[in-house]
Amino acid sequence: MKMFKFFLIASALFLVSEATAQEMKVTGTVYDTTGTIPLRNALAMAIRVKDSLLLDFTRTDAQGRFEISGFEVDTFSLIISHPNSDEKTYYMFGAADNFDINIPRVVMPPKSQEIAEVVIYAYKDPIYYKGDTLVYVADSFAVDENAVVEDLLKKLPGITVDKDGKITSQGEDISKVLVDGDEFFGSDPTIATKNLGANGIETVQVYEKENDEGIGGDDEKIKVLDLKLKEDAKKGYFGRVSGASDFALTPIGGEIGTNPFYEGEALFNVFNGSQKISFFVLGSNTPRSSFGWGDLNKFGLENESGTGNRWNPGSGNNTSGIPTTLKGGFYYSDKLGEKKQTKVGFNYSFYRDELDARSASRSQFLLPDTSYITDDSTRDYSLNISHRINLNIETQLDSLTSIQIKPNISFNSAQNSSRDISDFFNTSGAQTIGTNVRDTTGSEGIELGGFARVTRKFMKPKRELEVRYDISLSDNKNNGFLDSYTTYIASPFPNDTISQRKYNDNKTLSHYGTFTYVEPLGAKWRAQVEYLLEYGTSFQDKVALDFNSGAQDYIDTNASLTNVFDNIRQQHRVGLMFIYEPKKHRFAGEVRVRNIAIQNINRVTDSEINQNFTNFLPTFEYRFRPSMSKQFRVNYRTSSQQPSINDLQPIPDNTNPNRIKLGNPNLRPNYVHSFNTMFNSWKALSGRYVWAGANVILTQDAFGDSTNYDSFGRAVSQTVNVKGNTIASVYSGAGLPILGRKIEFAPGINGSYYRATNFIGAVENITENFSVTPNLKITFRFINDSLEMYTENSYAYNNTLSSFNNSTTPYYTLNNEVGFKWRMKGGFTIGSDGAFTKNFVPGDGFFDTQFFVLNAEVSKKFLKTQNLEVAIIGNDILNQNINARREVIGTTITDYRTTIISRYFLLKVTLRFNNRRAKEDDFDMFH
Amino acid sequence: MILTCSIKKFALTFAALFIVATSIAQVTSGRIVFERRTNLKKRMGDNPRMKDMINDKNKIRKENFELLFNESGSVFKYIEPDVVEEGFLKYMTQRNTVYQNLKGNEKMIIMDLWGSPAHLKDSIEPRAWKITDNQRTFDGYLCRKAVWEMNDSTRIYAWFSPDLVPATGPEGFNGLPGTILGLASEDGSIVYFAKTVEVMEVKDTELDYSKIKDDVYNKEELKELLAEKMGRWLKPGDLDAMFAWF
Repeated sequence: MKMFKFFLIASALFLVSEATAQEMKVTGTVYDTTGTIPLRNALAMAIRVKDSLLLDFTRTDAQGRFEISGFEVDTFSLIISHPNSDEKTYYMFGAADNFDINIPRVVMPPKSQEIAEVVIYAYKDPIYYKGDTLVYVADSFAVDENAVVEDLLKKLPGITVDKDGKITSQGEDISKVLVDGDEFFGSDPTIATKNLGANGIETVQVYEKENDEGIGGDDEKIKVLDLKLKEDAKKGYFGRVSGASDFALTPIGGEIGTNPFYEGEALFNVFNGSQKISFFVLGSNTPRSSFGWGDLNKFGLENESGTGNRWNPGSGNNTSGIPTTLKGGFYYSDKLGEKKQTKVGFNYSFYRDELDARSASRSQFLLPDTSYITDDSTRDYSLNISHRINLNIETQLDSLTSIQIKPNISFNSAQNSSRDISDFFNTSGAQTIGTNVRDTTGSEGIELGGFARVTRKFMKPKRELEVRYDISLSDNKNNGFLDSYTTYIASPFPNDTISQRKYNDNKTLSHYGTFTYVEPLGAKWRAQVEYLLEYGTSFQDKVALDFNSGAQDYIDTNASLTNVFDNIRQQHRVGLMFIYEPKKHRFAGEVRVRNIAIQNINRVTDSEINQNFTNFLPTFEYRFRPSMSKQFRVNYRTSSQQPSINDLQPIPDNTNPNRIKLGNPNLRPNYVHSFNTMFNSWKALSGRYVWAGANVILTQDAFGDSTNYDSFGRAVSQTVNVKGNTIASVYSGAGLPILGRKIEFAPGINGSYYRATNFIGAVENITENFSVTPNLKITFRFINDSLEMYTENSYAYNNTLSSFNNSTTPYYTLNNEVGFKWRMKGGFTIGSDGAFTKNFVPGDGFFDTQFFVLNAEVSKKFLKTQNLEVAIIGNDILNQNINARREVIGTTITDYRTTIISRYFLLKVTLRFNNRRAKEDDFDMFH
Repeated sequence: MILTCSIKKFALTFAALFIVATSIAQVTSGRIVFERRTNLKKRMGDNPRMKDMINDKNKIRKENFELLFNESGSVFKYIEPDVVEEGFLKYMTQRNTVYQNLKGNEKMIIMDLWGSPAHLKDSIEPRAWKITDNQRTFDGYLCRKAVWEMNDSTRIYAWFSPDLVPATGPEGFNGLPGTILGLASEDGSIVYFAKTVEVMEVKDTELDYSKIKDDVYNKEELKELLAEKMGRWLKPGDLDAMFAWF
């Protein structure tokens, strides 16, 4: 805006001030453009010339008078403005003898027209115009080897860089520095100019752009400096390598040097623009066989969660034993297309898991008039090898349509060999039979899965359509040998031998097509329609050949164990859902109707069983979220599960000849009602949180067992539909920090109730199981969080009531854990934790165990970047770990103890690295 | 500031003693609706967790606020949208309510801390504004650009209109010769601009915050309290950013 500037040397008026401080004072009277009428509420501002600081401002009163004062003498401009006229500016040179100035008449000038400025450039190569853009070709300007972009810019004619890094081109401020048209390096443009290497720059472009990120839009244009990088400039890498071993020094069974423990891993990620490649390798024979959550995130290993063996004292997970693990693979991801609208991801991983599990178990079968006890000693060896490939392609065809294709395939082979020695005892404790069963199986298979979908959004907001196809295929071939030898003690029966060779061929293929459409009905309502079509086939071919001693080969087909079974499934499902979302609430109700037609064909007997079911499956959900930190949810859903082909097909499974399982082709699908409610709340200032929830699952036509025992206690069972099962659980927990979060209490309580029906010898038996587990965790943090200590305790009470024998079998588990971790100066860290577990059963028993597992670790970081770490780790130093657990199913109580790795030591060296030669951090959620 | 009788001044005779009602465009009370655009990519773009969740489509977050002002003060608060917003993006910005008491030289800020409000009461501190020549229009009102150097690395730009008399503005900003209609951080990561200016009467009762009695702290106290309680989750930079403008 052009302004009329007047220089007024206010020497006309000399005034003596009363005060001794040199403060300015300016007074005056303002008139309108005619010069006759005093102007009220005109604005008078004093702005210091040297730095544009606003010194004071005021509005004129009804008589047009104003006074500006209260600041030190200085040179400033006085601007008088009013909406009906143009501005008037006076320059005031305040001084010791010139600090009280009066302007008797300020006459406002009339409004003027604006004239836009036009600037014309004319340059030759290596600078040229491309449309509106001024382009400098960077390599034409010689800079130092290690120059940064700022140094390059200083050399470009017309571009100046001041000491703060502020860039101007042809005298105009550069508001933005972009890299490749995009903001690549964060919000401060000097990060790009001070840190990017100059020899990575291809061209420097200067152009004007609408300030679409500034205020409002068309009114302002900004000048932009765009650095186009050479392709090889946007890249880097980072990774971690570590190796650990005990060099066979851990004493095992009193001996040293028998079994060295080792762990090794390497993770590496290299990136180049939007392309990312990660490699990983892990090998170990310790329980640590998977990557932590932080690593999965940092290196982008999306498909690696959930792989690996788990090992936890007291847990019911049976992949426990002595593992050996080797896995590796790579991930590739990139964004293709001019606008980076296509995302591509590819992953290949290889796994080789070996597990050697030795366990002992004792089962008690409690029947109304009698009971049996079985002691098992088992050795299970398994080797699993698999190759997995995952592919993901997502592309945005236009602003409304997107396509995603995500197939995966895995090739698996496994070998299993198990030996089970069982001794059966009757009620009086005398042994009745002894068996020795050996099973070896080899299997190979392919699994394929994936989906493809098209999503289309419409111009009307929230209207959406999705069409999707899912496929799942598995093809598995097993073959193996079963050798079983049974000795009858104190009984007239002769010894029994089974020698069989088995082949099992399993194929399933399922196709799913889904169509979903969402339509908004007003601001708060939405309706969703969905249709699902499923077509699936399963095929099972089982052959069992008995050993023929004459031919010394397995040639006699065992007809009772041989069959070919087919299953065809077709499902149509229609669903309609309404969603209502006023502020803070969400109501969603859905009804699905589905019809499923199942055909079970027994190819050997040529018989067919057809089933056809139509179900109504309603769902309801309510959610209330008054603020970010509180929420309450209630939901009810129904579902129905089909029995698996193994449960349906009629051939008995005699893998364990003492516990034979029959199939049941008459099994009906079940119908499940589940209720769920949950509440949580937390307060940001105090850090307090509380949560509670409950689940109830009622199953109609549930799958239950019907078991028949022979006189020795061997069982034959079959899955049947039973009237109803119930599972209910309640949980609650809280966190209460005190003393400014230095101490935090976290109490909690869990409770559960199970009710299941099964049949024993055709008599109905109802089992109820109760459990309550209160727990408490206390955490202490001292010395600026560098010392952390905790204790975690829980006490579980479990009881089972069986209608059959009116007996109760309560048992208790006590867990106490204490630990600490101290990060000391000098890069030392020391930590230790001890966990005490006591399982007790009144009257003793196999499960009655108690053990204390003590672990410790000492480590130190080296190098200026702290990227090299050496640690000494001791696991289960007191060598006490036992994996013991108790399972109560119906009227059977089984206690297990599995041999697991207990004590081992490791010397571990870890190196983290990156191309910036800076400190490399592991992904830590809070920093 | 009325002209006081100072000594030895040349008396200026003013013929016109009648009050000239020239204030056609001089507004002393009204309601301004601001649109705030936050560039999430700039605010959190280098946070590895957030980087992948913010893309070009959702990186600009728009929210509406209203400022009710009159000559005694103003209140600035968030306008909740009619349709509930889904997703987590709304948790990336703060929506505070600010009361400015120009006559009592005090401000009351209700900070929205993830569901539990904290009250900050403090005096209005004068700021060193620099006035520039840049001018642009907001809803028909011509504004001039002023700059405040918040710290060594950040500057805040404010556009104020002399035609709107009260020296107030959004988010606790004040002290300029007119109401602030535009506010922006130097890197453009947060921008407020006035979409509509409605001239209307605003009663003093609407600007009253005296009922807020509990959990009232001043800036230093609240900052210390938060550092203590939330220090584990907030980087010091983030904590400062929450208070930077106050």
